[in-house]
Parts: sequence; C-alpha cells; structure tokens
Amino acid sequence: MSIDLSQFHQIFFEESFEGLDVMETALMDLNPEDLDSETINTIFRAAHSIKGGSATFGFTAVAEFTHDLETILDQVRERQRAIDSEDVNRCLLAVDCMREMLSLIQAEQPSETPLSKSLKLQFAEMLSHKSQVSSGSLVSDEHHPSEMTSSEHLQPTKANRNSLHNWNIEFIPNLEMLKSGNDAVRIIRELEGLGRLLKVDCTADLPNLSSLDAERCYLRWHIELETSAARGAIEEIFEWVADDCELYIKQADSLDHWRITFQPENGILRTGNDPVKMFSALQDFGELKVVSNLADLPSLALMDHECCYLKWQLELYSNTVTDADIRDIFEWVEDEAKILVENLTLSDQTDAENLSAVALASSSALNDSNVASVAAHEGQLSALKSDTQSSKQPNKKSATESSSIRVGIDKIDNLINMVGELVITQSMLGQLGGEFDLERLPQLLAGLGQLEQNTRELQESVMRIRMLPISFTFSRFPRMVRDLGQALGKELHLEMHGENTELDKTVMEKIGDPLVHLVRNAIDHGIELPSERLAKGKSAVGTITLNAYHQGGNVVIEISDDGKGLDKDLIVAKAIEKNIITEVEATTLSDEQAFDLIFQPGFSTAQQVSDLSGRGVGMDVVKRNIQALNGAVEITSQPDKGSQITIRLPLTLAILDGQLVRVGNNTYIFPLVSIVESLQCKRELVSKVGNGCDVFKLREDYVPIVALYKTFNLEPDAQDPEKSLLVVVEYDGDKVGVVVDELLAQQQVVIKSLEQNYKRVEGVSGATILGDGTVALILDVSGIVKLSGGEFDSAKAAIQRLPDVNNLTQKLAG
Amino acid sequence: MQIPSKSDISNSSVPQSAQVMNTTDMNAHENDQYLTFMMAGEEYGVDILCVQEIRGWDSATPIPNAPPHVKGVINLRGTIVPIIDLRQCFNMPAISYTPLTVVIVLKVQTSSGSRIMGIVVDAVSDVYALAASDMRSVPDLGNAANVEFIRSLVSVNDKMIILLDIDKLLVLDQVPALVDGAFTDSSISG
Amino acid sequence: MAKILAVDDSSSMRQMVSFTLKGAGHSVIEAADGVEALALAKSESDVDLVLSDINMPNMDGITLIKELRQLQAYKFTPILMLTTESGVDKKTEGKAAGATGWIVKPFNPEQLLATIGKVL
Repeated sequence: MSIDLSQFHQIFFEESFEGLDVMETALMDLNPEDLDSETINTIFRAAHSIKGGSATFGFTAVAEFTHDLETILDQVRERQRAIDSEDVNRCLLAVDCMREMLSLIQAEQPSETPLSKSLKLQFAEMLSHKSQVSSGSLVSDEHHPSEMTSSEHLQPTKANRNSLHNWNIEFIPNLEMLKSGNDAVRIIRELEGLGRLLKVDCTADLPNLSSLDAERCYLRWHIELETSAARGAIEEIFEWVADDCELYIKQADSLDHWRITFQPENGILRTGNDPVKMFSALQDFGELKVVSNLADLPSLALMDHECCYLKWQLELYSNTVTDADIRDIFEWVEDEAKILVENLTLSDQTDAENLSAVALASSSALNDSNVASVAAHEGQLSALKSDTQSSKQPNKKSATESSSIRVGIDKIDNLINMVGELVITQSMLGQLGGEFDLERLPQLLAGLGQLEQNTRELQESVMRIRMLPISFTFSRFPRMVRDLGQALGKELHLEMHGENTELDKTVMEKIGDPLVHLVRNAIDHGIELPSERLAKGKSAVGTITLNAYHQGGNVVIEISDDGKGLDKDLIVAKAIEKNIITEVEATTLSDEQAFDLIFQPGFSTAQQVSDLSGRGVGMDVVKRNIQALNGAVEITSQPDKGSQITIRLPLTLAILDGQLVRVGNNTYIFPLVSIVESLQCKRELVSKVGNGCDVFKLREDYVPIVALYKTFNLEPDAQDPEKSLLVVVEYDGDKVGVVVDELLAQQQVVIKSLEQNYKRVEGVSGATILGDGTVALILDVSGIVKLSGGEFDSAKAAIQRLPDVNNLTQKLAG
Repeated sequence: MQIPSKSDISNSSVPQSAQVMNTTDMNAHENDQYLTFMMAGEEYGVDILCVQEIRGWDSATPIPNAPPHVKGVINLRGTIVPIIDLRQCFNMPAISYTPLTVVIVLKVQTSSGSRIMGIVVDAVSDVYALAASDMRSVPDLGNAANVEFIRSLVSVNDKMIILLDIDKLLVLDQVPALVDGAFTDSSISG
Repeated sequence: MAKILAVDDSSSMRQMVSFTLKGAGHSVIEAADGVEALALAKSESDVDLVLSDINMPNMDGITLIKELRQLQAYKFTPILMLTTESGVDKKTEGKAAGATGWIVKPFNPEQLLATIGKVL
C-alpha cells in the first residue's frame, strides 16, 4: 500500500507554525532561574512534534535542525541541564529559524539558511559540553547488557548427507485420538521401519489428577528420524490420524532449528503484549512448535487471571529466520521476560541439551511438568478481551481542515440552521407565489419579512465565519516587547486584554503592521529607561497595555503606555521646523491638535533615530492604513503619565452600516460610523469666511461646509443651503459638514469593489448594490475633503483666524 | 506590407477573400470569429471570445468627476462594471440612448486578472469568421482620436470592417479624457 | 478489521496514522491528548489497539497508558507508543506503565501497518 504523504503537508505546516507560536510564547514565559516544568514541557512538546512531523514527512533539514534543539530541551526538562537567558534567546532565534525553514519548504525552496547552519553549530556545541551526562545513559539503553544476548547462536552451515535426511516430526495427537483406535506406539514403530530414529521425546500434557481421563491422550511426541525415504512415505504413516492430530514434518537438515525459551514475568499481559501474537509472528518464518510450561501455575484459589503463569519452549524450523528477526519479535518484552534463543541446527543434540540446561535452571522442569496447550491460554485471553469484531461506527473528528481559516464547528452549525430556515421560507414563498391572489398579500408580506430576517441572520453567520479573535495579531507582541526591551535596555511589562475580541480576518491582516508600529513607538519613545523612571518615582518596569473590545459596530483597540507622554512643546517646535504649521498657528493649537501633528507626513520627534522607529515615516502611514480600513485613530497623552492611542475599526470590510443620502438624482452612502449628526442647514448659522467658502456654526464650534453637488459636479435640488441638509461627519479628528439634498434610509450595505473593473475614484471608497439592483457609491469623507481642496483648507484656516472660535475650540479640546 | 491609401478602401479594391459565415457555422475554425456592431454607419468588430454578453442599455450610476465617455457603473450580477460610450470615445456626435441601444460587455484577461467593461454602441450587426491573412494594417485615416484603438481593417462582401484592439479599449475608462490623454498611476494597473 | 484509537497532539501525524489505518480497512478514532483519549476510551470500550504519542499536553502518553491499564476493558488491549529515538528512556517508562510496544518515529505507512500487525 502506497500513501502519498504530501496530502498531510499543509496541515503539518499549519500545526507547526502554531506550535512555533506556542513555543515562542512559552519561551518568553520561561524564567531561566526558576524553570516551570509545565512551561518547559510545552516548549519541548512543540519542538518534539515539529521534529517528528518533519522527519515523517521527509523534511530532513528541519528534522535535523530540530533534533539537537529537542535534545537540549529534553535535558533541560529532565533537569540535566541548566539554561541561561542567552540560551533562551538562542531558542527564540531557533523558533524564527524554523519558521523561515518551513516557509522556505512551503515555497519549495531549499530550507537551509545561514541562520539555521549557525544555530545548528551552536546547539551541537552546547550538546558536546554536557554530553557525558546523557551519553552514558543513552548507550546503556541502546545496548541493554543482558545475559541473554551473550548466548550466541551457532551459525548454521548446511551439510550434505547424501540421500539420507534428517526429519523432525512433531506429532501432537488430539485428546480424543485414542478413541479413533489409533495407537501412537504403532505409528512410531512404523516410522522406525523407514530408517533410524535419532530421538523420540514424549511430553505429557497431564491435567490435574482429579480431572484425568484415562481415555484421553495427553501425550505428544517430538521425533527425529534419519531416513532416505521421501516426505510422502512419512506422511503416509500418519494418514489415519491426520484429522486427529497436529502434525509437523520438517526436513531438519535443510531448515534451521531454533529453540526459543520464553519465560515471561507474571505481569506481561498487563503490557498488552500477547505471547500468542508473538508466536504467530514466529510462525510466519516457518514451522513452530509451542510447548507451554505450567510449572508455576498456582492453585486455582491463588490464581490471578490477569497474570501469566505460563512459560514456553518454542521450536522454530525455518531457513529464513535470523536471530535478529526473533529478537525483534520479542523486542517489546525483553525486560519482562527471560528469552533464550538458540540455533540447534548443527549442534549435536546432547550439546544443545547441555546448553539449554546451563542457561535455564528450570529447563528440566519443562519435560516433567504439566504442559498445557497454547490454545487453552488463547481462550483465556480472548475471553478477557471484549469482542473485537464489533461493527459499531466510531465517532470521528472531521479530518478535513481548510487550508486558510479554521472555523469553530458551532459557527458552521449555526450557518446550517440558518440555511435550513431560509429553505423553509423560500418554499413557503414559492407556494404562495404559485397561487397568489391579492387576499394573500398579508401572508406574502409576512413571508418577505421572514425572508429578510433569514437573510440578515444568514449574513451575520457568514460574516462570523470570517471573524477571528484578535489574539492572532496580539500574539506577536510578547516576543516583540521582550526583544525590544532587551535591545533598548528597558524593562517592560506587557498586558493584553480582550484577546478574544473577534475581528474580520482581512481587517486583522491589515491592522497588524500599524499595531506593530504603534507598540514599537510606545516602547521606543514612550517608555523611559529604568533609571529615568526611578528618578521620576515610577516603577522601573514600564507597562504597555493592549486592549481590544467591541463598541457598537466597531472594534476598538487601545495601545497605552505609562511612559513619559507626548511633549507638546517639542512636537510643536518640530512641526514648525518641518513647516507643517506656522508659528502663528502653533500658538493656537490645542493639546489634541498638537498631538495629532505626529500623524503628519514627515514628522518625527525622536532625538536620536533608532533602528526601531522614529524614521519619520510611520505615524502618517499608520493613520493612512487605518483610514483605508474605514477606521479612525486618535491619541491622548499626559506628561509622565503616558500616552494612549485608540484605534477604531469596522468589524468587517465587507459590510458597512450606511446612511443613504440623495443629491439630485444620485444616491450616495455615508459610513454610519463617520456621521456625527445631521441637521437642517440654517442660513443664519452659515457664514462666509475668506474666499467664499462657508462655515457652519455648530453650537460653539465652527465646521467647514462642503457641498457634495459642487465637489461631484451634480445637479442638486436646490443650491440654497436653507433647503438642504447638513451631514456632519468626522474627518481626521475634524468635523466637516457635507451638504446633501435628503437623508434616506439607514441600511447595511455589502461593499463592492469599484477598482476591480474600473479604478479608484477620489471621494468614493467603493460601491454597493441597492435593493432595486442599482449601484450606489459609498463616500470617502477624506477624499471629498481633498477634492474640495483649497476651499476646505481656506475655511479651516479662516476658522482658526477667528480669535473667539479659537478660544472655543481650545476650551472644547481641553 | 503596403499600406492601402484612403482611396483604396473607399473604392473597395481590397481583396474579397474573407469568408462570410453565419453565427452557427462552425466550419471555419481556423479563423477567429468577430462580433461586429454599427456606430455612425461604420461597422466595427471585436474578438468574439472577449464578448461576455450583449444587453440593452439600462441606466448607469454616474461616477463623480468621470470623463464624459464614462457613463457610469452598472450591477452585472453583483459585479460593478463600468460602461463607456464608444461614440464619445471616438469623438463622434453623441446620440440619445433608447431601449434599443446596445451594451456589449467585454471581458479581457490582463496581467492582474480579468477586467469587465461595457461599451455602448448603436446596434449589433453580425458575426464573421475572419482570417488573419485578410487583415490589413491601419491606414492613416486622419482621425487621431480613434486610430489608436484600431487593430486592423478587413473587407467582407464589399463592406469595410474596422477591428478594434480590445486591450486598448479596456484602458479607455482609465483615461480622464481622450484629449488630454494623461494616464495616472492607478490607471495602468487595470 | 480492528478498531484503533490513535492519540497524537500533532494533527498531521494523527491524520497520517488515521489515513493509513483506514486505508488498511481499520476503523480509527482519534484523540489529541491523553485526556481526550481517556474519555474516548471510556465511551468506546471495544477498542482493539491504542496508538499513542508520548509527549502531549494535558495528559501525556505515559499517564494515559497507566490510566488505560486501570480500566477493565483495557487491561490487555495492545497499546503501542509512538516514540522518537530521543525518547529512549520513554520506552522503559512506557513499558513500566503498561505499554505493549512501540513504533519509532519517523515511520512510514508501511512500517506502521507492519508493526500493528504484530499485535492484531
């Protein structure tokens, strides 16, 4: 049977990558001074599994690489080896290395890397230091010194005996043979007529005296015959008893004769090893004669039916079997049994007997003891075992796992339920449609309502399939924080909350890098050096906290640190230096506005550019990435208390809670999350500032107005703001009023790509298909602002020039 | 190859070996099949393998600030597909759409996957099997605007058919407008 | 054909073992660790053979073997350990716990079938 192992590769990769993640986490939890055995066990197990799997699936390089690592971990686990933090680092590097190697294999590239080679050498080096301790025990295990192995068997060399042949005949009459009127003595006498009887051994299988039946035959014979007669002549002698006995006729000089003395300990059955199985394995090599020795059988009262009291002498006639083959069969019970293997083929009969007498103190007992048949023992065993032929179908876990996403079975079950309900609704509606009249309208409406609910639930269930816990992203941070802390000489503590918060897989994939950047920034720029922290009266250990939770239709991710906080003056000075703002503007900035400057392109406040962050690219990219996900980011900070960055993301990229609006004949959709409020556009609250652009007084605030009909060159119902509606949306922490003609429904929309067949359109983030099958465009507020360009900027600038408004804004921000 | 002059085409002196066939005639498998359509009295052809479907004109959702020849996007069984007006592309006078106005939906494999686009034409004409050997390269028609979209010319039964280069057509909607012809970065990607 | 309980925390190994055994006509039930295996063993009493990995979370193979041997239905059931060469000590430990024998990883499907043939 040939099995293509490659079908298991994908699942091996997946579990190996998971194992590496586990290993990494555990390694970071590991305290070299005080080893937690469960932690080190976890690490060892992961390495062990990867090694086992890669060896099985033929990824030799990985298997070899992992081998030494595993050995080291095993020694650590067995407390034979101490490790220090440097070793832990090396193990972490090994994790990286294995990841890389596995990825390379996946990409069908050679998996050896410079790192893997160097690490392998390092591990080999480590092993050679401690090898004295372990190698001793290894050797003794591989080559178990046993008196059994010292008894060498004699090499068979086949002698030519002309036409004379030696025959071994095992004659085991049934208990009832005598009843057939056959006489064993007669048979043996007949055999003698064929040639010379070299040996006639008679063994008695006597039961207890009380149960002895004189009519039964308890004897068996081992006959060695030297004759020139053919096999047929011998068989003919036994012709009459063929059905009443077990008969083995072997040409002894052409077959090796092995005698195996097998004396198991009482407890052997408890290992699940069944002597009968081993004997039948021996039988595959040739003719086997099994003699059971019941000498040690205790009285019935004392007998434990779970114990094996039997000992055996086995005679194997085979020209193929080797000593190793026989030992192989008994390999698993070497420690539970005395095993003597002899090759009697060429040895003189008396020599063999002497040998066995020397090796086995109890061997003489074999002959004059009660001997029971193996079959009886087999019966004992099978009675103890439950029925093996039961055809009951086992519960089986599903073996088919997707290559890309793992979904809990509950989610699938839920989905199946939903589909079931949908089918019911569909058939109900179908029936209704088949014989519809107006009187049934209420039923139709009810059915449609049901359909709507089914659809919504189905949609939610489907979306849930794509949802993964954010721990998939969070899991990389412990390692990162640890490495960064070591690199920067900072003491760090990472806290993570809400790791089970679920998020769409696509969003998750896209938020990973921005999060990494933010955490790096917090460590690099936020957390102070231990000395600095102590001087400030803070704990030397800086804390980074990651928190995730659901809020409405959003996922909120917070990254906070208890570091030095953002330095407003420094930021402002830098922003002026980089020409991001003017000095005049700087004087009017609120804290919030100032902090927001770090998201501006080309901004960096790091005194010294490290290789970790602070290259001046980053925060603006972070913000852009988050906005591309329809998300928002904001930052709060207090000097010496720390900073907190809050990211808001939609649960999924595929569906959006939308507010439909109308401008002229066109329907557009605002993401509901971006809408602050919508209100009637009152003329008295609109004022023109600067170059004819409008601002709207929203309570104590002024917001710039953007008219969608202008930006998009549309024909509106009315250009009079009085007759229009103002949708106030949030954009980059600012508010913008967008003028539309009418607010329509709010509904969930499925986001469709416009770029797939067309291209990116400024001010539009995507499209969707409305209930009537037409296409509506989803608005991108930042794009709209960009489109209105100068108008918006000048309005914004104008607002800041208004002294009273500035005060108000600052008051609000403070 | 000698480029035929404008007069050559007008007096139909082009060899008339092109085989005319029915839409159901499958004998001419060696030749490529072309779907032809009418626009302002001229017959144009596109490779039939690129034609996904032919549908009547239905209103499209306009795209803000799009060039005038981009009529908007429609919902083609869940996919958002842009519709462009070929007349406007070729600087022909626009005509008002009627229910008989036809949209040919084209699908073309590109390096980044397949792209679908609808083109508005006056009417669908016929299907021809045309041999590559009968195709002539494009003469200077004096019309700079649409010559770049023409792959070759072929004459069938005294008629002149202009075969269009689908790959070029597919970037039509990417061009802000024919006259300024400026390709933006993202426009090439499709 | 036999009913076999395959225990391994590595699902690729488990799948490989299971696939091989099923291909040979056996029925296979799977468990990912000792705890799962023990529960399964209790609910499915007619198991003919147990194949168990040694290093597993929650409950390792050695403990599993000990626990199984405590169950009346598994007193004599063959239990084979799936070991690696580095687990030399484990063989002894496993034997002491009541294991029937072992298969050394890595093994290929043919080797697996040959080995279980010894006890089935």
